[in-house]
Formats: sequence, structure tokens, C-alpha cells
Amino acid sequence: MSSAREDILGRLRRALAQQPPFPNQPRASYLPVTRLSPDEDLKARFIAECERVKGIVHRAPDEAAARDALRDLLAGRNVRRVILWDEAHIPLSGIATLLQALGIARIQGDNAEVATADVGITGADWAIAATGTLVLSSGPGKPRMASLLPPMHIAVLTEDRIVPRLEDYIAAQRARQLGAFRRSSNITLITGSSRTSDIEMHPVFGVHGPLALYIILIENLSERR
Amino acid sequence: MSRTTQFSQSVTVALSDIQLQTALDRGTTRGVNARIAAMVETTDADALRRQARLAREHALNHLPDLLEQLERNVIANGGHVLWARDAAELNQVILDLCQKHGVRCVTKGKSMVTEESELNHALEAHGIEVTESDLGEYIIQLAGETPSHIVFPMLHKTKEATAQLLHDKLGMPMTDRPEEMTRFVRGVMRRKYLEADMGISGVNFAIAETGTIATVENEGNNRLSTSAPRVHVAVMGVEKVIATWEDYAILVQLLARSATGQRLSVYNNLMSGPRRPDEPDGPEVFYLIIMDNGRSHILGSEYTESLACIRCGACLNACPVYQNIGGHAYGWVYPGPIGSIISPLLLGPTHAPELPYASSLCGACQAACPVEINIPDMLLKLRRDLVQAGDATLAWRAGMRLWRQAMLSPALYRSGGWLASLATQMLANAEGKIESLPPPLKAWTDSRDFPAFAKQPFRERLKQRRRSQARPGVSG
Amino acid sequence: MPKVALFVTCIVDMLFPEIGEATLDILERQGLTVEFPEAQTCCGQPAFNAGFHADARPVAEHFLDVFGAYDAIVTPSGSCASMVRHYYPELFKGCARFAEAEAIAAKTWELTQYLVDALGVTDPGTSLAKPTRAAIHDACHGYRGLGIARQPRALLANVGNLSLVEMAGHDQCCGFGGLFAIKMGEISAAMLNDKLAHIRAADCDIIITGDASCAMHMNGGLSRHRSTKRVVHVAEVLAGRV
Repeated sequence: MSSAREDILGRLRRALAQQPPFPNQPRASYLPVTRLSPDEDLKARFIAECERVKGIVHRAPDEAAARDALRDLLAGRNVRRVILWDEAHIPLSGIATLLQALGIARIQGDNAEVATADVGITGADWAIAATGTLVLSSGPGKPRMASLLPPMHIAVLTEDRIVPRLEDYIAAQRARQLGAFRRSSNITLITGSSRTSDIEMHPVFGVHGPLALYIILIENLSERR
Repeated sequence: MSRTTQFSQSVTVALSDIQLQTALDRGTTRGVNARIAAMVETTDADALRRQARLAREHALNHLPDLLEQLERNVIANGGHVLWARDAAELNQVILDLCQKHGVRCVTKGKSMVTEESELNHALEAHGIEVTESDLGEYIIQLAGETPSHIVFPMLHKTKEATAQLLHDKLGMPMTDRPEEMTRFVRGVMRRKYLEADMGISGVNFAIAETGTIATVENEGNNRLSTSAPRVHVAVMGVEKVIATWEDYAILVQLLARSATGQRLSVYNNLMSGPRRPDEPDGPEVFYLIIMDNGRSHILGSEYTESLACIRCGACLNACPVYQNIGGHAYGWVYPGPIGSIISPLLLGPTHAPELPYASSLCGACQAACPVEINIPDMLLKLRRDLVQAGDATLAWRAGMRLWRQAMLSPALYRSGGWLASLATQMLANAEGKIESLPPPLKAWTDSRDFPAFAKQPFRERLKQRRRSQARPGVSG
Repeated sequence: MPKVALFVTCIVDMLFPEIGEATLDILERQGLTVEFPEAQTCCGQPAFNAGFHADARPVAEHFLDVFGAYDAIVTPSGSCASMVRHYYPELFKGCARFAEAEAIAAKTWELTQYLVDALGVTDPGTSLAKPTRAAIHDACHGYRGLGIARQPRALLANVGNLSLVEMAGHDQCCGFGGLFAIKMGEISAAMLNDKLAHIRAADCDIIITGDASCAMHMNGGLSRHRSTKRVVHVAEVLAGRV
């Protein structure tokens, strides 16, 4: 008896045996989807797009300001427990010290444990200006759940990670032989905070993912480096 | 009972269901407006649709090769690939996996393919608890109903009916605010994700060149279903594979814009196999199941382009028929214009043979489609197939023969017109309108007047006009 | 001088001869000599759309016989023009007369399309008897099948005493759809009701459309509901007959 695999592939090959259903056409150049002027200020666009989809951006001129922003976010909400990416993957030093000072516990462990966290803190591999999107990949020290289970997600990002469009992000991966898509079991493109329109197509924010998304954007990198 | 009466009965019920009409009106209007706004603001909507279409054409032209490439890469990523010839085999494969991994609880992300196979019933029959995790799908499951829209499964339900259901079934305090209902379901679902042994998801795109499964969602339920349980099973139809990441970029953006009017959906989840040994979380095992279930019969036929569909639901919102009868009247998983094509093709032409006729051929579906699927043309071809297969009634066949004879003989055509004029002039009121006609024309006059034929047809009046034009000194 | 034939369509011939006369007025005002081949009947669309290709084909062959020799075939219907343009090649695929079908598809024109795109005319040189506010219903087959939208607007903009107003749902189907209105009478009626709501809400005296069949359908609903608004054919307006 032949396997389902052989049967299905055989049927598909026979269906295409005569001639391809559509003329084969070259698909060399791609028009990007989103309008973006060549001199567009990517940072300003990213912030505007984030806010459109209910992400809240805190601009920080330097790391010290970023730490202040993070402190304010955590202290103002009576946060007790956080899940955190390894600090090597967050472009902000001194987070551990900050958490200690605020008396906040860092949670590790299984999902049930992680589910008790009040906040998840992550970095972001890239950000996409045209759509206000964060790109987060899984990897060692980068749990997926940090951006998913807690009711609040804080992503720390440096300005130099902003690319114009999704197409540019893909092109950058192409230039790296698409390694990221094989290396990480999961890459997620996050555009705003979790939402639904299931009830009468009426938009509601905060469904199964985080109820709130905060982005701390560290600017003026030339001074920092 | 014949299927024809089933369809027309569902239509009658739907048209007189005031709650349904309210829900449809609110929902589809929002959907159409959101799509139009989102497509207009792109670089060039028509060029982008062409580009998206070419990406899908390329995939269909190379389907078996791309599926094999996908399989190789999923395996290279540490995942497993299984195949299912049809719906029954799909359910069996998943049941076997449940047994193998000792699964008692399953959460599901949205998957149309498992709606085709009625997987939930199959799993529940074996004592496995299945919870739909998408808000709309969950509410539908609670109500014991089926989805009525590809993207907005509970489009047929008003917020009032939703609140009542959540109140009755789960004790939610009554509210008319979707925000409160959503927050309530969030609380219920959190526990389910953490208990589940297996997460089952659909696949929006399967990117062959890296073996990556892409899902598109807004709520986060799909991410949770595919990340929290120890086993992740992704289920796709054979047609879901695409060649490249560049194809993904165009398709995923047009999907979001066409489905909900967003520039990108909130979570675009890209999954390449199970968690790596050094990763802190994610599923320990990953399976991709590739199902045929009739699609290979469509490939290479006149209906191949129906396989290009990316399930955005734009044609449903845009369709004036769907806007009036909703999704359930279509009788199967895929409603609306695309459903009227896909359902007879997947289930056989005898399934709901009236579906291809449930269209005025207005073309709004094609105009809305992000991959330019020519739905009206395929509806016409399905009608042709039905007639060739002898599906038409004797009365229709006789009527058509009579019509043909009249149209082929100018004399018969003229005398027929003269007779019709005589008859309709007699039936008409003082304003020249007919308010009531016998069947089958009663279907017209039940809700609108019919005009009397002219006393003199154009061709007779033209003779007089030519005579007066020929007479010197007289102008018109 | 091109040899121009009027294909008046069966519905205009038998039910609305004044639309045919208006069409002639307009074409003759452009200095054209327009012939009306007496043997013409129907394009075959009713049978084709119902799936009865075997019945549609001989009627379409009759159309080829009657109109094949003309340089241009002009018709006051987007729907019938679209049948010939789009579906004749499909209907005759693999048949002996396929080339003829393709040839006739290329020279069959909807009226406003012919005036604007073929003749380059945008001023019909007419005026209405009294100031009139009109909304446009973009009939489906002309609008989406042939891309007819700017042509009638360009012409109507130059009709004296006529002002055009926007109507929500201007491109939404009225529910006619030929035999659909009978076969799916209930759905068709529900679609008509949606359309009538838009017509009621529009701040206009008349509604202008390019297909007599759609006009008949909407007028059937308007008169049933005792509305004073009426749908008129674009040719009647362009000929100043409204």
C-alpha cells in the first residue's frame, strides 16, 4: 500500500503533468507595500505607528534615561514579579540592580510559574518603522513567554535597530542566508497590543496576549558608543 | 428533503432573523470600509494585488516540489511531517499523536482545515478535551454552533447575544460592552493554555525555503496555543505552501489589509520546528500535517485559481448576497463567494448545487480579492458543469429551448414580443406596472413591480422615425 | 466613415424603446450613420449565465451573423457589451468561429465607452428641461466588467441643468442579476431593499444608470414603495429626454 505522502505528491504531479496552470513569469522586482518617503524620519514614523496600534513609546536620550523610564513603569504599578530576557539580549545595563532596588523578583521556570509574572521585559532584534512592528526571536536566554504571558510587556530597543519596512527586514535576513529563520524555533512580529474584532468587528484591546505594550526607545547612539 | 429546499429554507430563515441582519449589517460594513481604507493607502493597490497573485501562481505551478522542499526543511529544523489524504485520515493522524504523547487537553488556534474534518468531534469522542482559543471560535464552540465567516467566525452574533451566552454558560455578569466580555474570556482561557498538553494550529503560509510555518492573528491565542503546550501540531492544506520570504512579505501584508484593514496583524508568528535544546521555552515536539482532501483534483483544472485563496474573507464582506444571508446558509465550512466555489469543488458538484447560482454575478468579490481570483467566471463554469451533468430541472431545460428558438428566429422573436406586450398591457395598472404575476415570475412581483412591455417595440418605432427623417422639411 | 451598428438589446427593444431612440439621437448627433440590423435579437447572456452553453452558443452565432460585418457595434448596455467582450471568446473556445468571436469582442462597445474612448467625445451637447439633481448607479457588469465609471461621469458633467450628487453604495449591486432575480427571488429582493435605502438617502431627483435591466429592477422597487424617485438610463439623460 502506498503512503499518503506518495499518493498526494503523485496526484499533484499528475495534475501538473500536462502544463503548468499559470504561465511561469519572472518575479524579480518587488514593490514594497507601505508608502514611505525616502527622507522619512524612521524613528518618528516608528513611534507614530506604534501609538496608532496602542503601543506606548518612551523615548530615552540615553541609558540612564531608559533606566529611569523602566523604573517609573515598574514602580508605578506595584510590580512584584517579572520575567526577563538575559541582560545580554537587552540593550540596557543595570536592570538586575534596578529590580533588586525595587524589591522585584525575577521569575524563571515553567509556564505556570511564568504566568504569575506581572511584567515581561525583553529586547527586540529589529523594529519596523512603516508598521510600528517589533521583531523578537527565540533563543538562549530569550523566552517566548516574556512577551506573551504577563499582562504587561516592556521591550527595550535602540534606535539603530529600526528598519524602514517588513521588506527591508526580509532583505536583511536574505543577505544573511535566512539563518535566523532556521536558528530560532520562533520569530514573532509584534504590531501593537493584543486585540480582537470578533464581536461585531468592534476593536477591543487586550485579549489573550499582553494587555499593554510599552517600548523604551534609546536614542542618540553616537554619544553612547 | 432535497438540498434545494434546505438552502432556500436557510435563506428564508436568515432573511427574517432580525438579530442576524443587525449583526451582518454592522460587521460587513465595518469590514468593507476597513479594507478599502487600508488598500487605498498602499504604494499601488493594483500592482500589489498582481504581485500577490503571481506569488500564489508560482506556488501552485510548483506545488509538489515546494511541498517536498518544505518537508525537508521542517525535518532539518527538528520537526516531523505527516500527510493526510482526506479529512478522516487527518483526524486519525491527530488521534494517533494524542495517544502517542498521552494528550488529554488540547487548545486550538484557528484552523479552517480542521473545520473541514470536524476534528473537535473526533477528539471529543475519544475523551480528549478540546478548547478553541480564538475568542470568536470559543464563543461559537460554547454555543454549539459553527463559524459563519472565515475571519470573523461569530459575525452572525450580536454583542447582546454574546453577553447572554457567556452569562448563561459561564456566569459572566451581564454587560453590553465587548471589552468586558473579552476580559472575561481571557481569564477563562489562561487556565486552558497552561493545562493543555497539545496545541493545534492552522497555517496561513508555509515558507518552503526555510521550513517555516506562518500564522497570522491579533489576539495572542495562537501564539499561546503553539508555545505553551509541549506538543505543537500545525495543520495545512497542500495549497498553503509558498516559495520564498519575499512572497511571504507581500502576502501577509495584503492578508492583513484585506481581512481587517490592519497594516500588519498584531502577531505574525513564524515557527521553524520545535524549541531548540538551548531555548528556554516552546513546544518540545513539532508536527506539520499536510492534507489534500480534494485539492489535488482542483489543481490543473479550470478552477485552479480557487487554490490561490489566502482566506482573508474580503469577498464575504463585499458580497451583497453574504451581507444578507450570512455564512450558515452556505451549509459548509467555507461561506460566501469563495465558498460557493470551494464547497462544490471539495465536496462534489451534488453538494448544494444551488450555491453557484446564489450570486448576481456583480463582481464585488473579485474586486475585493487581494489575489485577483475571478470568482464570477468560476461560478459561471460551475453552472455550466451542473447543466452538463443534467442537474437542471425539466422546466428550466424546456424554457431555455423555447428561448433559444425565439432568439434564433426574428419572426418568432417579434411575435413573442407582440404577445408579451399584449399580455402585460392587460395585466398592468394605470401606471403601466404589474403588481402580481404567477410563478415563477411571482418571485419577482412578490417584492417589486414589473413593467408592461412597450405597445410598440423599438424596431417598429424606428421605422416611423426613419420615415419622418426621410421626409424633407420635417426635423425631429 | 465607420460602419456602425446599433445593438439595441432585447430588453430595450421590447420594454424600453425610448432608450433605443435616445441612443440613436446621441450617436446621430455625432454625425454618425447608424444602422439597425433588423435580424438582431439577443446576445445570449440569459442562457450563458444560467449555464446553458449549448443554448447560448447558437444565439451568439446568430449575433456573429448579424453584426460580424460592422466596424463598431454600439449598445446601451454595459451588461450585454460585457457578455460579448468577455464571454464570447470563452463560449466559442475550441469552436470553428472562435476567431470571429474574438474579433467581434474587440469591436463591441457600451454607449458611453464608445463616445468617450472611441470617439473622444465628452460633450453630448444637450441640456435638461429643468434643473435636476442626479446620483449615479454604477451597474455591475459595466463598472467592474468593463471598467466603466469615468466615461458616463465625463459626459454627464457637460449636460446642462444637471448636477451630480454622491450616493453611498453607488457601486453596490441592485440585486437584479438576470434570472437570479427569479431563481433567488428572496435574496434578490433583500439586495434591492439595501439599494433602495441608499437611493432614499441620496439627495437627488433621479438616479442614472447604464443598464435598462437594472433600472427596471430598481424602478420596480421604487414604484412598489410609492417613491417619487426614478431610475433613468444614461442615454435618456445624454439625449436630453429627461
